[in-house]
Amino acid sequence: MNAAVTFIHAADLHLDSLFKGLRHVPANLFKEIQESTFTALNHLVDEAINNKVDFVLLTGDLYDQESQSLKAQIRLRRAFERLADENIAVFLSYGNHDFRKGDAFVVEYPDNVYIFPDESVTSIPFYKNGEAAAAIYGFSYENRAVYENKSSEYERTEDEFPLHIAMLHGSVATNTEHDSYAPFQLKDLLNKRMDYWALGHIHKRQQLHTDPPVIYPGNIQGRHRKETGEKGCYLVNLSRHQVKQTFLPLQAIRYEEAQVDIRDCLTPSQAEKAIMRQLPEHSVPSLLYLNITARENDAFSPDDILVQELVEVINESLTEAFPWQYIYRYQLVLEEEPAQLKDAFLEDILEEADMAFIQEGLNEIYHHKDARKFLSPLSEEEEQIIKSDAYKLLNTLLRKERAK
Amino acid sequence: MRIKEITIYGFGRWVDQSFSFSGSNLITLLGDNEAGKTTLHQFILYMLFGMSKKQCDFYRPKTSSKLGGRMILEHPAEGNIMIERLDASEVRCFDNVGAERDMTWFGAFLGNMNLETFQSIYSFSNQDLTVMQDMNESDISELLLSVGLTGSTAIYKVEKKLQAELQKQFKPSGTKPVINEKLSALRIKDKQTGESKQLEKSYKEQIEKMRALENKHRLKKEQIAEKNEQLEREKQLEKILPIRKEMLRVSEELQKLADVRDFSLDYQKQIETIHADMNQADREISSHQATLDTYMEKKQDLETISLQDGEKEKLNHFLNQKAEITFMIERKKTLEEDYQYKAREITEMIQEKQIRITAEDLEQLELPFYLEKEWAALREELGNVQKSIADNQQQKDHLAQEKARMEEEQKQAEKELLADVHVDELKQRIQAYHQTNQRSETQQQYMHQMLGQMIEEKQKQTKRFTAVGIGISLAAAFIGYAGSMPWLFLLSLAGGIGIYYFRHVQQQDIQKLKQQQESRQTAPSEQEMDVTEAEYLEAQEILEKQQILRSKLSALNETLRETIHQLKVKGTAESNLIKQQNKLEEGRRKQQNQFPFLQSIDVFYWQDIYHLLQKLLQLTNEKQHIYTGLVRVKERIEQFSDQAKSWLKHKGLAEQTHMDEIMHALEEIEQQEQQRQHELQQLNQFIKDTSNKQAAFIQKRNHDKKEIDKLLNMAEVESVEVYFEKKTRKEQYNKLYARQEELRERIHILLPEKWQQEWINVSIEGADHYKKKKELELALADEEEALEQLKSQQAELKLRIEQLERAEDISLQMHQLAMEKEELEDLVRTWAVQKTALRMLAAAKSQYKDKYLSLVIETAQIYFKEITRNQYDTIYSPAAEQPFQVENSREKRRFRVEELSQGTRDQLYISLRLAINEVMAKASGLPFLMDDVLVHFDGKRSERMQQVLERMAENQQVIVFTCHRELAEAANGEIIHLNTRDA
Repeated sequence: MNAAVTFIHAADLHLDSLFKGLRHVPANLFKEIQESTFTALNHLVDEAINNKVDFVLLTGDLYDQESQSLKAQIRLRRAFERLADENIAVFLSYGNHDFRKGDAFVVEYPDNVYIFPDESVTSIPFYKNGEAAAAIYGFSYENRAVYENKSSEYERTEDEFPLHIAMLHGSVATNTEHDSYAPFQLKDLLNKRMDYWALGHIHKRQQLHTDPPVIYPGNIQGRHRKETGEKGCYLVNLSRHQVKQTFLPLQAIRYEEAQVDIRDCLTPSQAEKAIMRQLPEHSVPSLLYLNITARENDAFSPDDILVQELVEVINESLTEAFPWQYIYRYQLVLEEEPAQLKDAFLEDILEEADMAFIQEGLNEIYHHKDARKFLSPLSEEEEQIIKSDAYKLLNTLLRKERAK
Repeated sequence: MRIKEITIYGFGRWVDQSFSFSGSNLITLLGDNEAGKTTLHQFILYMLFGMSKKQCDFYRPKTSSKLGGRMILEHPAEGNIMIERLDASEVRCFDNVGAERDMTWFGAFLGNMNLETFQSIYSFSNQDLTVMQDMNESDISELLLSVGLTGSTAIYKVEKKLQAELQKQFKPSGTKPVINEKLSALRIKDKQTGESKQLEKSYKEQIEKMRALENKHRLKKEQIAEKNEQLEREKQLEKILPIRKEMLRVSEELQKLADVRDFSLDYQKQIETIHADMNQADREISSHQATLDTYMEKKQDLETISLQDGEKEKLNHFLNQKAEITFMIERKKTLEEDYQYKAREITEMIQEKQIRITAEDLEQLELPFYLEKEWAALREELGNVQKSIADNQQQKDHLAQEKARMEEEQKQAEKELLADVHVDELKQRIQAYHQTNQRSETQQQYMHQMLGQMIEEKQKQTKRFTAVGIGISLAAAFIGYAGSMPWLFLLSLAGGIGIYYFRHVQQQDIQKLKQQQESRQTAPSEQEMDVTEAEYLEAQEILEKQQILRSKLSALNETLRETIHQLKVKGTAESNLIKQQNKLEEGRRKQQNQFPFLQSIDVFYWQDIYHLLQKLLQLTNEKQHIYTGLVRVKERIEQFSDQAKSWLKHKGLAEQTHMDEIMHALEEIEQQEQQRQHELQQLNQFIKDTSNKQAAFIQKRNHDKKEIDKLLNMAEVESVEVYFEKKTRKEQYNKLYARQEELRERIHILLPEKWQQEWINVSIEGADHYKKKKELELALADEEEALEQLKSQQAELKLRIEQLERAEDISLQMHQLAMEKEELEDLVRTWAVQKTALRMLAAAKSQYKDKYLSLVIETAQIYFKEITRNQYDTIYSPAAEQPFQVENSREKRRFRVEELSQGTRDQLYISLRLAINEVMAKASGLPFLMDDVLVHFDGKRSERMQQVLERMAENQQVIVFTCHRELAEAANGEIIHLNTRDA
């Protein structure tokens, strides 16, 4: 009995969700970046069609309710329509970002789309050429969060189907990195005798188990500094006795982090070249976060202003290249003498300084009626960073001033 | 570190002057005012910290162009260091071994202290004392910071820089700074995005609307379909309605014809043939009959028109008379002519003789034979009488003339008599009366009779006249009244008046006559009464005279009487004659009345007239005779004519008046009559022929009748009419039946299967398909319109939805907004770092102040207590705008700076400076310079001050500039007299 199915497993499309950390991006790139989630989706559809898959599994977070983008849903519908044209079914469960009750638009999807209607696990049968091919289990988030362990609800009910595939949008109970929704233990899943666990929610691609495969495909397009590298979906060929999964990169743009060292550079031009040399190379456009290590020497003292200018110059040439690259942010790490970092006046004072008073100064902007709308309150970590940056700044300034 | 040696090349009043400070650390520079104390103080500062060019110019010596000098400083570690300055720019520094060092090195040597710091710690003058009372918290902390920190400028600068930087980035209520700009940009973008989002959110609503509309649309379509079906049904039903009506009618008719349903039509042909033959025969018979009828009618008409036997006879009678009448007519003409002739003859004769007599009169006139004689006698008598009257008249006239002459004479005589007195007259009168009385008794009688007669006549006349007049008047009045002729009234009135007048005159006449009559009787008696004696005597005389006259007169009278008598006789004769004449006249009048034509003819011609009349009468007789003949003829003709006319009239022919016409009409009638008789004969022949033919047909018909009766019997029908009626009905029945079937079939074809039952069920009367159809059509139109509206709404909505679906720029806006937020975050982060840095700096400063201020105040307190000899033991540092305060040690009373005496105030300041020096200068140990600050110190406090200075000098060089010798001398240090060193 040839009861194999081919499908694509993807999750966390986060269509049209907002990108973080981008600023002053040239308009053309910005457009491309903004479109990237959709481009990735198109890539997914292309792959599905090219690979003649039977169906596509989308395990939640297809779009963000927060961004309330009609475009996301319309594009999604169009994608589904393309799949419908090719007679490819879509099994869809909603996650914590596209939970059902938050849907502001209620866009109707074509008939090839099967949606798990609510938070109780149900199964939707898949017939291939008129034969029962697979039973697909899953649930959709109705509300913003599901805190119970849903794995217990997964039961093989449709025994006449040769294959059983479970879709689950949630995280392993121990996971602290993400919001722990629908937490589960891996062993719980393994007990369910499913042939494939199509997980979603975690944006970092990972395979928790091989047989049966328990897979987070990750999201299909990185959207900030931490979502680096290749992003995409899994092409799975599943039969009763064999499973073969292949990762297909879909991302339109890569987020990357790069280390560059300009300590030995004596001139800005040298530094520029050094940076260019050290940049990674990718087949798709990439957004770069640079960690620049520098050192002050007699001839060349790279400071923020200078580095910024440098980065601007570099970006100019990078954005012209194909595929383009863009340094959207950098961090300058200056190697300095410890003694230089401390000013006598501040040295013994800061420990006893009135921190509340210092903090209060920021309220001027964080409590400002216009500004606070657009600013998220500072986390403690951020406050610490600011403080340390301020201390560094003061030292630098005083040092420079005294040096005059 | 201490100043060892000062060499001035030129500075203010000092030129080429040098001072060396020996071992003592307390050096007092004593000098009067203007001795150059302050200049020297300035020089030291100049040497240490330099001076601006402007200041240099200020201190350039008047006597020498050279400005500058050198100073040797002794440092415990570095040894002797020399600093040399020339003007503002030139500076050289040499270390212990004589190597030249840069100014950085020198700065470090001074502990990186600048002039201000130095001045605030180590150098102060009496001018600084005044600052004290205005000093507040920040001032003091600034002061402390500036004196306490090496490089406090850097702090200031950093602070300023940070502040400036922050200002550039953000102002809480600004618009220009970068963050503010970003914020306002963001605000706008956010608002736009919000609006866009809001628009986008309407998508769901639109979709729901769309669904609702689709639902409505579907429903509406269903409704329309349903209505359409109904309409179609109604239409079909309406279409078949006439058929149904016809069917109904047909079936009704069939019902009526139900009796002939089984009627057989087997003998139809035979019956029809025979019936046709019979009919033919009948037609022939009736045709012949009709011909006969016509003939008969004609005959009848002719008979009616042609004259009856009596009539005919009459006509013949009339016609027979024709010859006679024609003759009569001729005769009538002749007679008429004769008559005319005679009449003319008579008329001519009458006219010729001018006799007033008409022909008619003549006819009446009778002339008896005696008349001739009578008329002749009358003529003769009348002639005689008239002759006698004329003679008599002649005699009478003659007598009358006689009488008139005599009366004239008498009058003459009487006149003479009358000329005497009246007595005479009276006597005469009496006499005359007597005479007269006697004489004319009869005459008088006669007169009286005459008068009476006259009166009578007059009265009669009057009466008659009056009666006639009144009659005429009344008649006139009446006619006037009746005929509305007012002038007749006037006439009658005039008549009336006339009558009245006439009567009146007559009455007067009568009266007069009566008076005459009476006077004739009464006059003599009256005269007698008037005679008197005198008169009588007189009268006697007169009478005598008169006697003659009287006799004459009497003779005259006698003659007169005679004449009168004769006259009377003549009168009587005349009246007799007149009477005779009147009688004759009477006779004449009688004749005239009898024969009026005589009136105009004189009696003398009457005889002639008689003869004429006799002739006329003869003529008249002849005429009369002719006339009689004529009348007879006329009567005859008339009689005939009347008879003929009345006969004709009776015949209804137009009234012919003329005899010829009548005759003609009669002849015509006779002719017509003959024509008719001829026609009648012909008709009678025709009638006979036709009757024969008809009889033949009747025979044939009777034969047929028998045949057909036989057949009808077989068809169980009484008569052929019934048969035909039944046959017709049967045929009708068959036709209707076929029609019914046909109609049924048509309905079957027309109406779809599903509505077949419908038409049978729906009653034909109740079903107003047209109305229903119209209603449905209207409803449909409404529905269609509603559908159209829905469609357009849908289209509109679809467009809107598509627009929304296409509007991807909302997403772009979101992303841009997010990016700009990131940018804002970045900006704010930079700002936050700087702000934190600034705050840190402020915190550090505050901390620094807190740390050193208490120390300084504590130390100052010790100094102050000492200097004021325990007068004050506590200093309260300024706090929040509150200046310094001190507390009295005994009363524990607090005083503000301005409440203190000048001396105490100076002492407080100096204590503070000393404290600052002690606390802050520990590390550096620079020389302490005081310029004229002890001015307001009293002796005791100066002493205390000296002790303090001495103690200070143990640790650092103290240089005091003063003008008080005792102060200088009180100190146990080196005194340099500046006065003696005047340049």
